[in-house]
Amino acid sequence: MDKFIKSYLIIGVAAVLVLLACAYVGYLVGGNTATDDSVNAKASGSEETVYYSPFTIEHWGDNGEYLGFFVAGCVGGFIVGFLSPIVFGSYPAIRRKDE
Amino acid sequence: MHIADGILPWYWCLIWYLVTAVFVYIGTRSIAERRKLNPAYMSTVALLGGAVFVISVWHIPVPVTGSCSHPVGTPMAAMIIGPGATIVISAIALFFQTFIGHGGITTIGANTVSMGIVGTLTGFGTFRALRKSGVSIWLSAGMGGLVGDVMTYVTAAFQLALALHPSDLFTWWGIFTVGYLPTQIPLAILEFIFTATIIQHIATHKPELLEWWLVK
Repeated sequence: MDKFIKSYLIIGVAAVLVLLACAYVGYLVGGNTATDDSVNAKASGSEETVYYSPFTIEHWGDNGEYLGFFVAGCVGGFIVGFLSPIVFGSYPAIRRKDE
Repeated sequence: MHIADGILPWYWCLIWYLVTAVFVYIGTRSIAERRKLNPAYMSTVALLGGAVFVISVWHIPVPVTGSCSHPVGTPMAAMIIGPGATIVISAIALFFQTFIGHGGITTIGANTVSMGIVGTLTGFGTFRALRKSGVSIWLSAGMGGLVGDVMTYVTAAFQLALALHPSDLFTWWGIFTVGYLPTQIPLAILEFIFTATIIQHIATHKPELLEWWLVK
């Protein structure tokens, strides 16, 4: 494990811990409602969100939302992770090929 | 800023779609031109597309307010790939976000105007103006991120007020803005930090990615 990976693992773990702490305090204070949802509810006068999309993960309820975010995070992460070495060219394998 | 389906009247959905279509057309032309000059540009556009998608659905809890919201990521993307391309990737990201319950299929235009067009142009404009005034890269980039983030939400509030309460526009613009900003200001500061860090890191280690605006 090189210095770069160690640094980013430490930053990643620290960020998750901070997020968990913020989520817990936020839950105690007000339940962590998304501001998008609360403003949409104020604008429409209804707590129910309408979806015209032929498919949305929200149709599967709360579990669907977690699943959707998990899949979206993984796909987005793979895209960013796959393209990062091409764009930034910092991986040893790519440096060797260039040399 | 993800305005859901069923809130805006149909004519406002159509107007925002038309505004978005003009900017997306200009953005695709700019992508095509820069791709001819540098074929590797498409990899950077795709990378930033993935990043903007993740950043703009990344709900972060704000403990003080007891609510959560997300940064936008478009000012950072604009500093790397340019504002035109950023508008295009924002529209694509917002389309895919409708499938995970963020925004709506009828409001992609309105959401692209707030996050993709206003967030991008104000963030990038702030960055360029500060750079031309001799401010350091990290501070210019951070301020661009902060301004783009806040302006995205101010614009979404304006869109809601304009569509739903045009007779009392400014009062409702203020009400909707107040609904967003207490949670959004801490996240705008977070956007300042990560935009400043990433752009400074690129400027130090991979400056050729930023050369397109440095040389102008």
